[in-house]
Amino acid sequence: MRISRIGLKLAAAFMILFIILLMTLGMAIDQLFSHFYYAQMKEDSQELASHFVSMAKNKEATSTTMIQNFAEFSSVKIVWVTENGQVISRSDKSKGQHPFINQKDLNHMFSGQSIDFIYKDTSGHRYYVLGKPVVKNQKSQSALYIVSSMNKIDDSIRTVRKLLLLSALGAFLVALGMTFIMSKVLSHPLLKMQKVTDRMAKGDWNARLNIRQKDEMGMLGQSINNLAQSLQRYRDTRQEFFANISHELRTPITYLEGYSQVLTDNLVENESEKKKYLTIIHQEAIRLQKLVDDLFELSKMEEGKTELTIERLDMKDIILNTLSKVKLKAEQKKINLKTEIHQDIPFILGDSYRMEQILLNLLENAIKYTDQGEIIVQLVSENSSLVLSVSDTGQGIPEEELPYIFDRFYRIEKSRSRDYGGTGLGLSIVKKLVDLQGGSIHVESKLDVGTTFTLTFPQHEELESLESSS
Amino acid sequence: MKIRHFLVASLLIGMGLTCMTYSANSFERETIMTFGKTFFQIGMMVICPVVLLICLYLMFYYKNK
Repeated sequence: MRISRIGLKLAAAFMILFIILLMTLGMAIDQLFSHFYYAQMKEDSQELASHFVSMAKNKEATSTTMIQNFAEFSSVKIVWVTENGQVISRSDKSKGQHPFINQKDLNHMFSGQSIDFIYKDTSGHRYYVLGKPVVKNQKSQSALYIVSSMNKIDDSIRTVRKLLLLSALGAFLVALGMTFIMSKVLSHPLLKMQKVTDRMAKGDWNARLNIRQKDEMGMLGQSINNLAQSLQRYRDTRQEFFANISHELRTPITYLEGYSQVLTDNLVENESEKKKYLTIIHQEAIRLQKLVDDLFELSKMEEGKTELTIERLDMKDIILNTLSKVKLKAEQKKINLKTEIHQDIPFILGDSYRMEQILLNLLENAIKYTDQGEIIVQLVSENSSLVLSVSDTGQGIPEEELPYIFDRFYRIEKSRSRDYGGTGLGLSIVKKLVDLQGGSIHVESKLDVGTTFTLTFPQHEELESLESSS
Repeated sequence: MKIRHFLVASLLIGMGLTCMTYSANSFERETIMTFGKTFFQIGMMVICPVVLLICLYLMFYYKNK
């Protein structure tokens, strides 16, 4: 049988606690029984002593015989002594000495006080000795020692102790059995987690925990499942990333290799064909350069190495500046560029260069995928936030593809990259840059109707107070 | 938790209850009837709280579900 270590620790902790409780309780019960028996015996002896003292007060010849008979009947020994310790009468027939009689006790008794103590003889037997003065005319005439054997009580206490030990052993075994079940039940989810995490460590990311508890154990199990899911997703995206990057690099390199080979082998027929091939080589080289630049930028952002120059931004200026850069491209495609900017737009905190990069990316995409119609850039202030939206009347994105458009190298249709170019990293960079500046991005789209990207940036509290004071 | 684990635990609990019954019956006349009666009483004292706890657990479990 395999004993799990955590189960063993739990069981050991419970059992140690139980043994401590059992020992304390046993000790208390033992003391309770001993004190009860002694108290009972003391009370009985006191009662007997009162009777003997009454009989002794008569000082008649019959009193001595009566005391002796009564003592024999009550299973006690009586020693009747004078002030100097001389024995007047005794119930036992032996002529032996009574070592428990001493002058100090006699003085006590003849001063009118009672005494009691436990005496142990040479053979180890214990006796309860009670001394009482016989008072007549307010003067102690003699004294009586009542000696009760404690053998019966000691035997009873010994028997009770043995039974208590047996009961304690029984309770210990019951507790051990229950603790065994309890430790197994409590440690079971932990052992399950250990097995599943072991499988995960060996690369089986599909392994999941099935813990239905709603306590901390259940929460831990859920966290492990979430972690596994994240790591699985990370592994999948990493593999996808490498597959994508090699594919994206291979395409322009193939163009470069092919056309440069044609030129090297002088297989061109005329100068215009040569120029055409050189243009393709140049365009592919630019595309390759852009791809490498984007990848470098994205990896810097993911590693948290992108440094932002945070300052007060007037988004109106940034929008107008960016629009002027894309105006020519839009005019070439006969697309109408519109702006809807509210009057009281507050300043926000951000990096002006990166903000312009975000807007430029979104506008270039909008122009790229819009064949006719218009592009509207809207800027409004809502609930302490600045909302910037870029809407187009382009091809739109299918609804099922929307959750993935910010993924690296994700393209709605593979053919689009050939038709429109691009690296498939633009929106991924946009999302990272928005996140880095504390904003959020949201997209809504309908096929053949258009797409709207909505960016929300919080208005900083300090800026709000500055503006209100000015 | 496997059946053998339950068997081991039951054996331990049974042994414990027997020890306690023997101890409780030591001042009584030793007959199988009196032993069985005391064993049943002690067993009930152990089982009742366990059953009560299980009922409470199930009650809370289904209530939260």
